[in-house]
Amino acid sequence: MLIVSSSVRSEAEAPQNEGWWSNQLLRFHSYGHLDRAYKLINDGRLEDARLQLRHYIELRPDDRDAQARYVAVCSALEDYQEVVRVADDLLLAEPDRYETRLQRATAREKLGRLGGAMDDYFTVANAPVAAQRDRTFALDTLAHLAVSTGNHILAEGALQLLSIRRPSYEVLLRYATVLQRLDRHSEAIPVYKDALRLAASNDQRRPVLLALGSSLAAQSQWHDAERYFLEAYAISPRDPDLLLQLAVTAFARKDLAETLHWSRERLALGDDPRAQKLLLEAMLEVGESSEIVGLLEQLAENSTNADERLRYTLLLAEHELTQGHFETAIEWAQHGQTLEPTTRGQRVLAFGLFRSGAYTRALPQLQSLLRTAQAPADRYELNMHIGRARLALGQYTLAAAAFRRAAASDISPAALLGQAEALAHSDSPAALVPVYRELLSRPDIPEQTKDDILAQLGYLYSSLGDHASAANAFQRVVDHRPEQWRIRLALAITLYQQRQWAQALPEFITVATRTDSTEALLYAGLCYTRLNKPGFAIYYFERARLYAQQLEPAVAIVLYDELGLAYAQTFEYQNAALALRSALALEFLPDRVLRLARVERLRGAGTESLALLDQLDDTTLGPDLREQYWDERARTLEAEQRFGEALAALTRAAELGDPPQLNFRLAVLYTKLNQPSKAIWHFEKMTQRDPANSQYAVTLGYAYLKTNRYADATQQFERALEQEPDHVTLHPQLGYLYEKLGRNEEAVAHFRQAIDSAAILHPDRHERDIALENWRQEVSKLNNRFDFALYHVFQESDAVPAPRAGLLGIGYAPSQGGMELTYQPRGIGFRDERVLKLMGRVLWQSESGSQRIDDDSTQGGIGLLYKPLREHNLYLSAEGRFKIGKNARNDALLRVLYSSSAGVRSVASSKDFVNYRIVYGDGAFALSGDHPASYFLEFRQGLTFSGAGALSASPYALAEAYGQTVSSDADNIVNLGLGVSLRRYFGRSHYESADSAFEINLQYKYAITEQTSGWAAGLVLRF
Amino acid sequence: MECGAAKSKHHARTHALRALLAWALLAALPAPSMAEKPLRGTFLQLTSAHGEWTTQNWRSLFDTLAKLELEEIIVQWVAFDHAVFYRSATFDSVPNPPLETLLQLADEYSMRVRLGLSADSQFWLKVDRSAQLIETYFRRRIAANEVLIRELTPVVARHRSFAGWYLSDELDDVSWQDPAKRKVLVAYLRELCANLRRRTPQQSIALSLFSNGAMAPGSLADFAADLMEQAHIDTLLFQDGIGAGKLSLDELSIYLEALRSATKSRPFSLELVIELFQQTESSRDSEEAFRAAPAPIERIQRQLAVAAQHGLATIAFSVPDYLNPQNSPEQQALFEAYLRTIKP
Repeated sequence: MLIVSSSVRSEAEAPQNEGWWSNQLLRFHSYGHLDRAYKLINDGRLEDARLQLRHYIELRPDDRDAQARYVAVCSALEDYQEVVRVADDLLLAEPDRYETRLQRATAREKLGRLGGAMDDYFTVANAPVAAQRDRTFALDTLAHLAVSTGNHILAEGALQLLSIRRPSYEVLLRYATVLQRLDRHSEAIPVYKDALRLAASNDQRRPVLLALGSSLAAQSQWHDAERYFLEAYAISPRDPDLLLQLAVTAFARKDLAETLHWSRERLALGDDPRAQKLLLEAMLEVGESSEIVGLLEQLAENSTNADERLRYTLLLAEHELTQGHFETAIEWAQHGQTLEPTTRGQRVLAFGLFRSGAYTRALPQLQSLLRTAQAPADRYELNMHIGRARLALGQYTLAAAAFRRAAASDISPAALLGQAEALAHSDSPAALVPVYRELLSRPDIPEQTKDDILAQLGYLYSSLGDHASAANAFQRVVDHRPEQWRIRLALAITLYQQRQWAQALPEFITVATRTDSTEALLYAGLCYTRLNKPGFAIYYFERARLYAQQLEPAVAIVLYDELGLAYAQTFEYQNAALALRSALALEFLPDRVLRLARVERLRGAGTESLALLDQLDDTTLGPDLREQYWDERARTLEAEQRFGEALAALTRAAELGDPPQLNFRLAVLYTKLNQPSKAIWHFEKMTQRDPANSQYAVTLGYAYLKTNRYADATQQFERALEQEPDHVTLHPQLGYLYEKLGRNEEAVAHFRQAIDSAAILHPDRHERDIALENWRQEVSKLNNRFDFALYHVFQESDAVPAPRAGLLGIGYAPSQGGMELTYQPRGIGFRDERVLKLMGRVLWQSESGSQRIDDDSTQGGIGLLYKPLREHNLYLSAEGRFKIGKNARNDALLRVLYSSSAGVRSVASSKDFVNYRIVYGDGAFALSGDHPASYFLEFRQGLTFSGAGALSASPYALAEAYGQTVSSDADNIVNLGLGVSLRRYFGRSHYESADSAFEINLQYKYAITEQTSGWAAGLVLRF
Repeated sequence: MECGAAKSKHHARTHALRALLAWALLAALPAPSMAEKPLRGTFLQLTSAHGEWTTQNWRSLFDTLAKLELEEIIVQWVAFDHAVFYRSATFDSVPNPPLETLLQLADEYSMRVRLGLSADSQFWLKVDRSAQLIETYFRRRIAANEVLIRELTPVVARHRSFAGWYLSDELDDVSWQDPAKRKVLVAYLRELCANLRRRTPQQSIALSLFSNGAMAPGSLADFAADLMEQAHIDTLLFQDGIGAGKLSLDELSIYLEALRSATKSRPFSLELVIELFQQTESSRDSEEAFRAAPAPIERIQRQLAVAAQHGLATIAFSVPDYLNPQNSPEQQALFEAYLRTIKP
């Protein structure tokens, strides 16, 4: 078409040459060729036409038109070499031949001489005289070539002009595309939009939408871009590029779900690395790993690019690392290293090994990385890993050093925390303190974490024995977080360890109340124990015991031991035994056995106690326990009344040590075993040890008493009373003791104090009255100086023997009346119940057959009475007798008197009646004349009834024997009879008994021998 | 209560600890509410100084007691060592012995009076000995009290205000754990109460008990209940020990629960003695004379709340010493606070 049009145009515009003839001639020779050429052209025989034209041109080389036609024919015949050759000449001569220039441009283009071609097109495009159509064509082609050669600037210029001249859809699209390629998206976008408006079909709309979306995306106008992409998607839903663009846009919008969707849509149409990458990135972002590995593996394997393959391999390794698939991560990392050793690969390998626990293998990798790492963050991370690896390998010092290096970068307190952890395991936990303090001083640690560190610091101080600092640390935590029960418990335990029981206790109770912590309950009990409040200790121990089944055996043992001790402290030995038995069941310990044995003994279970002690082999015990063992054994045996064995056991204990009160207990045992001298030795040691102990003095005094060391006994008793006046029982004891020692005044003083303390000594009234009477009698005996007695007997006949005055009387050989005065001198008169008296008396008889006193019978006497025996009322008497009546005698008389009685001195407050018995014997021997001798024996048995006041009556039966010998004649009388004695005592004082009395004695006697039976009555007055 | 009696060494050792405990546990108690009931009565501790009081002085005290609407006065003792506070034919009485005046005013003010017997400042030392020596000591006490009871019987018979006897010998939970000593104690109280009932068969007898935390709650309750039953005592006055720092409020509550449980079906009543004082630290930590200051009203409220929680009537120790507006501005303030916050 071009050739035809050009030739037509050339023919119509062919110019006229100068020199007509020459021209005509030349025409003649040449025109034939020219005509034939035209004809042949018209016939379409272009090759022939070219020959004719060549001939013509040879003939007429100056015919530019012919040359132009020749060029056109050559162009039509695609002989571009010829076109260029001829056109070069022609255009050199006539540069304005734009048609030929276009033909040469085309030929150059075809020959690949694009530069020359574009020059020609450019010339035509800018030639104002050139035909508009040629210029447009030139511009169009120029733009095309510029694009194809990458000269977008030239293309942009061409297309800009073209778009002005011919703003068609196509031109606009191309123009926008060029602008887009020049990254002039802001200019491209309106051009695309213009093109879009001109698009006549969806086929035209689709590429514009796609390109427009891309430019918008390049401008980060992701939402607008997505809108156009989606329009394109509506037209062409299976366009891979479009789907990819949609994925890209969604990813850019951080819409990961959309990214996943569009990427998968794209990949459904076939592999696309870009889509795969997007999918990968999206999956990495959302953490969706189900497909990621496969995707990465695919990318790594399929990638032809070595760098990409490495990248995906490492990415895969890293992904597996983050997913915790350490072995796989290691494999991929190793694979990556075989592809190309990189720091990144080594890093993944090192961390993979680290996280898989292959610390030994990880360490060289980490250290290698550390040697080359420059960035502080890298060095920090590597040191942290090294530290942790060393920590795991138990290389605590090296671990601490690594953490310390990490801490030097001051990136995170985690390094200090790691260092703290390493030091915590090291041999020098004290080094932890400055680390914790440094942590606490850091402003980048949250308060809550600081509280945790403080708590750890507290535990550290506690382990270092610095309980004060520990308590301070725990207290600070509790101040911030009072509900931290574990820390409150730690605080309480620390206070407890500091022996601050009172401060610890409320913490324990609070924790126990809030958490039902058995440990807190147990410790609360322990605090109360230390605070000497065993009652509450028991209360909390018992609460803890409810959970005993949940306790560690060691803790349960503490609980039972302490509970047992608390119960023992409060004398609840039964409960104590139960608790200690529970502890013993959990753990057999000799000292626990000893404690339990002690408790069993104290609760009265001696058999159980001995059985427990039998479980111990004393030879296996340490010195202290062995001593305790024998001591306890001795106590138990003593409680079981096995004194001999107890003594042996206590002696063993004494060989091993010197237990408190050893002497006392030995003394007691010796006393019980009737070895008083040994007992005294120990008692004396005991009182030397503790001279202020009045009880010791009392026991020693009784020991002396038992061995008749009365003076020593009184000394101890006096000392005891001096120390403790409430030892009132010692007063009567001392009274009797002083009496024995003849220290009568001191005896009287103590009997008086006994009398004053009678209500204290004898709460029972009856016992008290008896005791009082006895003491008063003792006082009376000791104070007695003069006794006077007067008696007279009235009898029915001379044949009836006179009744004895009994103990009230004084008679020897029965006389019918008499009076007697005795004097007991101070000192020698009464000495340990031995009595010496001076006596003077007058006796008389009644006249025969009358009750009148026979003056001639009056007999005087003076002498001594001596009671030689302490226990028996036996008197010896030596008496000089002198005559008063004419029938009396002057001689000397020896006498023996004995009496024993019961119920004679019944007191008013005594029982209704008491036994009454008298045994009396009286024997006399005169030293002169015919040596008369006589005897009198009497036995009375009856009852004594106490009446009002000091009156008493004693009915009785009697048996008596009387006899006398004068020279060789013997006369014996035996009587049986009944009688009654009525007595009234008087003269009793607060301190002395009623020794003065008046007695009426009435008897009826039945004579067994030849004497006559009958009545007799006697009156006695004594004071 | 403790003021006149010597403290045991054990008591002194644990004073400071108890104070801290009490403080800590008091803080944990709920805020006081109006649930607490007012005081029912008060102890009155006679001293030689009362011998110098005029009737007007006594009347002024009774006016205070009346404002507090107290129903009962427990005269802690009518004889303390050698000071005898009534006209005695046997003992030397203090000048102007106040008992008769006190009873007359109680008649007038329609208050009831419970009379304590003789008190011995050496009591705690004497009972810290062997059972045998304690028995001897108690026999002396019985003898001394016999005279006192004999002399007081006609005196109290003249006054309608007389409401019974109070045994001045306080009991604790340390001294009587030994069964041998406890046996002696029971015999002593039984005889003492028998003497009282012989003279005044219709009158009730009260005994007070305090705890050092030495006995488990159940054991303490059993001890008290058995004692009361065996000695035929009608009222147990349990000292709360808060002022002396012997117990915390929590500890008190634990004991009261046990005591209530043990006395539920027994023929005697349980009342709580509210200590209105705060013993000074130095006084607790040493053997020096008892020293105390009035307690804060908030603490008294808590004490009364605990009593109310256990349904117990309360006797103050003591209004004349720590809640008497005539004594000091401090007590005046406490008195007014009491009237404002507690009195119905």
